[in-house]
Amino acid sequence: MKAPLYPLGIIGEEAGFIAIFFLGLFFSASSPERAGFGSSRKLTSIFYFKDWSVLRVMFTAIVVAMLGLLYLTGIGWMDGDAVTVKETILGPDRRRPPARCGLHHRRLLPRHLRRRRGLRQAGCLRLHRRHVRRHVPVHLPL
Amino acid sequence: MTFQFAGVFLGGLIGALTAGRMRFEVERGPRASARMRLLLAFAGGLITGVAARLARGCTSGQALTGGAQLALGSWAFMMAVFAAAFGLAVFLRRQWQ
Repeated sequence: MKAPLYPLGIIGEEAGFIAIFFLGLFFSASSPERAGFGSSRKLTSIFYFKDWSVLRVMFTAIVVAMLGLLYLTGIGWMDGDAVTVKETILGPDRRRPPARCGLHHRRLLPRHLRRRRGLRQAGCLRLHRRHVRRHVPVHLPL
Repeated sequence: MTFQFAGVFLGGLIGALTAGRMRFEVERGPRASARMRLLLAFAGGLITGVAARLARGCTSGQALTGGAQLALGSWAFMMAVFAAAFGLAVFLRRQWQ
């Protein structure tokens, strides 16, 4: 058996639903309830510099997951390429502006993206290709 | 997702029952009104829902999952979330402290 189970087709949809049910059950029984994160006052107290447990738990979780990914991939129990990694989008997605949205109006866009046309026409024009910001997918070096 | 929510609900219930912490209350600061807290929580939920769709993930999907994968966008998300929360918390101090 090799992880990730669902993307590799090792378990089907039904088994996936059952697995995610139990994952949710164990998650909420441990993290929010037992650790005290059911309390919104405890959650917000970090923002008043009082209780830093939210930050500690978050970063512990990140490091644990990171080590898990690393070691499981390292010993071959996990296929690192089959794990979805979120693509990097650091700004608004300007690839496909919706037609007639009025976004090309002169005041709503920076100068280099404006077209010298009226709002009515410009609204459904596509942006020039060289202004298009592309997604750069970032992959795990595993 | 629905199956996960069912699990999350049941898990929380089991945890609270076994720890003897089951009771109804509106969590709030000593000077905050329950009504205002519920209104703000509702508004916060709405904003979070829309924003999580826009950002393609929430604190769990982006910050925790993506953070563990060292995804650049997820770390940018995390910094933005904490910066915004620290900034906004100043104005909502009365609700909690």
